[in-house]
Amino acid sequence: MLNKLFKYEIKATARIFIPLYITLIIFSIINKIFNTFPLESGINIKGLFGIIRLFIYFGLVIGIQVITLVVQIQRFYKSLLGDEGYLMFTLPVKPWQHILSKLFTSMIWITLSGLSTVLSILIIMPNDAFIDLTKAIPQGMSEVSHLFGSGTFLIIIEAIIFSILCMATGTLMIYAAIALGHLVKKHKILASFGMYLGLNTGAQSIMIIFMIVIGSLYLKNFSNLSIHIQIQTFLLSSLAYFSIIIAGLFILTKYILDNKLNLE
Amino acid sequence: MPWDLKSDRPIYPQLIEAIELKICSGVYPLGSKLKSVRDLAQEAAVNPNTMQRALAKLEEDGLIYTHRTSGRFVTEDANMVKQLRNKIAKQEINQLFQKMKILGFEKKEILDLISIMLEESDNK
Amino acid sequence: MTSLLTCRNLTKSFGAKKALDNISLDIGRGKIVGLLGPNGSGKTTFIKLCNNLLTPTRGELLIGGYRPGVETKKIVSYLPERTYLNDWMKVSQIIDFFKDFYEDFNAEKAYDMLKRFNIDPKDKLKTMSKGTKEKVQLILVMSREAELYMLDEPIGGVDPAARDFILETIISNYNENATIIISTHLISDIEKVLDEVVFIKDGQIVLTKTVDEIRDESGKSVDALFREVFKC
Repeated sequence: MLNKLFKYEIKATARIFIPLYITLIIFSIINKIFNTFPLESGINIKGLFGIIRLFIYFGLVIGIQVITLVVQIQRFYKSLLGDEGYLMFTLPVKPWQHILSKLFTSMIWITLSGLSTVLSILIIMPNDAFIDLTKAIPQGMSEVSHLFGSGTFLIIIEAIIFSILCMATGTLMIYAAIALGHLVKKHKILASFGMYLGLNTGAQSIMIIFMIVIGSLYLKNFSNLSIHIQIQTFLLSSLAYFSIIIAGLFILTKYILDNKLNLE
Repeated sequence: MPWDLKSDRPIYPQLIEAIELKICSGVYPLGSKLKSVRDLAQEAAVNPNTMQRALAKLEEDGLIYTHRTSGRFVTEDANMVKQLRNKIAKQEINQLFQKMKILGFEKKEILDLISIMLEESDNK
Repeated sequence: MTSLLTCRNLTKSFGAKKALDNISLDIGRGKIVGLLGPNGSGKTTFIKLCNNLLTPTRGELLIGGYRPGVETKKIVSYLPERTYLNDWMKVSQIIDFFKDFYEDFNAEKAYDMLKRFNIDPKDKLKTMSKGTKEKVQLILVMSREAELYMLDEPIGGVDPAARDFILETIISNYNENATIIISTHLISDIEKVLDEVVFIKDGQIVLTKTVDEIRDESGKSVDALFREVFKC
């Protein structure tokens, strides 16, 4: 069932994102062909076109980020707790499966939105900057592996998991806020915003508690430790922190959908 | 022949009457096969359970019989149908008599009126 | 055979208000039942409870022996009063969707009914009128070979010709193992099709009788009796 929901979710959202990504990439390629953004002085036609192209480019990049956020919200607020909810919640499917399928889909689009933006930047950047980059990357990587030695692979894995959990936390916080807002009779949207701020504050408070606890374990010697161990500590405690927040948000959202659903 | 069902009388007896009428009038000829319960119910726009009960009663009365696998059929007993026809006619006539009695008609008046009307309908 | 739907002392409160007050009901298989009552009487609350769209405050509700949940959703086919279809799909895609999620969905039947209603499966839901979308919803719901159908105002916003066709569809879908519960105001159109009626008022069951019992005992149609019972 989870697979089917996931498939449906991707289908419903791909029709928005794929054209956007394609447009961005094509626009980047076109710009590269017309020699990127000439910021020539003087109000001539070429310069004017250049500025317009710049605006469009930024518009696309920012637009993709905004739409990624809006779609996340829409897929939960409208498709699950709006009229379409009558269809969704009568499927022989448990509510937590709805949450997960939407969560995974959101995370995929967040990742792809980021990657397509990076790709467009790589396409657009001036050739010499690109060459500098291709030199800088292997250099940076070798510095990193010197720093961490045999622990490099582990650190990289932890960093990847860190990004994934970070994404998941952001999305789940939106879902939990919408679910909490659903409990209120009037002004649900306003309530959801408020809940989001509240949850965010709560999560940050927990983070501070975490830092105090971790800090006190090391007593005063933290800065004396090697960079490797400092970063390792940071990553591991972050993973623990995110896991706790994610679990909490998930359980909260699941509880509301299981027991407090009230579609109108 | 449309199913003319009144809304203030129970449906079940109305279905029985309607089917009896269709049999007597030849709409459902002797020995003919009846449509399925579901089709009849759809035609009459009634609940299939109610139609089923009506058919069951008619079967009990012998007007309809079920032939194991082939379905339901109208009886081939022409005599039975003739008697039913008479019975229905008598019921209608009794109703007529009651009404005319209320209106204050005498027996001879009733007969005369009926004769005149029969003649008129012949001439149409 | 035990009844398909049983509820005992079922109560649903929203804050201080009791939408359903201690109702108990038994509905068997192979029946077409009318759930009749004015707005706010608790009909929709009851139907939502049956579909696990609300959770009971107190009491018990069993469908096919299960509490409303994944198992009951497999055997219950629900037509809500509102349009619940998304707008980006074509009709053929929503049929595939139903086929995917519901084992008892009969796609052939759906395509057949679409044809009779003159609806093109390649049409997008977005381009359809409200009335056509409602027909599509009805077709989707009736194409499932479910054990319990719950139809909330199925003939509400539809023209009289379509209304007749919908009633025909309901009758033709009848089978002895399945039960259809219809919640509606439009009683006179539908009462000949009903086995039993349940009158509900202020969250309580006021009457449970067969249509013929009502007509026999009161000498009135169910519609007429309803107007009497629920006179403002």
